[in-house]
Amino acid sequence: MPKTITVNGLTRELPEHENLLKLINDDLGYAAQDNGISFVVAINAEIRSVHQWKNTALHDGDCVDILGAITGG
Amino acid sequence: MAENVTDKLIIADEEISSRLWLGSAMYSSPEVMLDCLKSVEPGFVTVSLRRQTAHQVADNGYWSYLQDWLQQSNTKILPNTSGCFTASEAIRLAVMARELFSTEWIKLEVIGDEYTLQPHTLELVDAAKELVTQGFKVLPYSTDDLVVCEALVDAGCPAVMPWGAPIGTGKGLLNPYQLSTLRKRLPDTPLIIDAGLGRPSQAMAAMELGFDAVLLNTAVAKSPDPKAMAESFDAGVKGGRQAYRAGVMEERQTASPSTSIAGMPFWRQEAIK
Repeated sequence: MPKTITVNGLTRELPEHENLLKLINDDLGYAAQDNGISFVVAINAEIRSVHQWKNTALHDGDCVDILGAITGG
Repeated sequence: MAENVTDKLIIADEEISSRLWLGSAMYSSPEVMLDCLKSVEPGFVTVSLRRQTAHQVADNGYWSYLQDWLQQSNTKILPNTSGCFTASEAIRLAVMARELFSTEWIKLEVIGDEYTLQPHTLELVDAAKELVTQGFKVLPYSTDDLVVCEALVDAGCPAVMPWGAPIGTGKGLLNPYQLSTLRKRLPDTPLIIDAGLGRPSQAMAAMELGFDAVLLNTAVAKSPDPKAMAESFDAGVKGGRQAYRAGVMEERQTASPSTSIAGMPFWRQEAIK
């Protein structure tokens, strides 16, 4: 049964067994840069490190945040 | 005071290479930003983090430039929690910043008023306590309230960063009396003026008061010649620090001649007649 999650505030439907790794890399197109990972991922405000992505299941109602570096003061 | 005989700035057992700290925002291009950073090598450069699409992550010129340069400079990266209005928001963002930027340093910002961008000092102290517990080196952006600054030190912050004036105003040191009081009452705590500086002379004045460093962004980034302005601030910071160490004279209420009056010819001859 498909599930509905939000990614950076936008609603998205996913197949039942999709994990975080597939979402990040295949569906959304985020990829590691030459100098490493340039973004950080949290589900429901809890960080998921890169090595956890493959084994992180996504559940209906999950809120995924993907943050990258910006300039700041 | 956080200094030794060679006047190094030490915070949380780390040497900070410069007393001028710069923000990375609002530059007209990554190249202009990098020119400024290279010319003064600030002690810290501040950055932040926001939601980004895959395209934004892949095409992030500013961050890409910064990343490459930071690897070959003595400047440290200082993520901020800009945009947070509660302790819990700031804590979450700080944790994500630590993961993204691989540093324990955090410029803790918790805003309490959208109009003035005044820090929410109550939430700030709560957030600082928790982040210190989690191993962060917390540099809190605060008001110049002595009791709040003392609470931040008691919470374990290795330095405190009171504002000179509201962010982006360029008004300089609005309350020198209070800032002097902070310096006197917190003699062993590194104090950094964060926000409100518009001119190098204001940075110099902060350093003359005995502040340990200054952090600014707008005044450099928005200058028609950012690199020259960064260098001017650097000179002001160094001059102010040197003056503070040399010993700035006490102000007096009455005039006092610099040149001796002893031996003055014709001294009040008319009165003698």
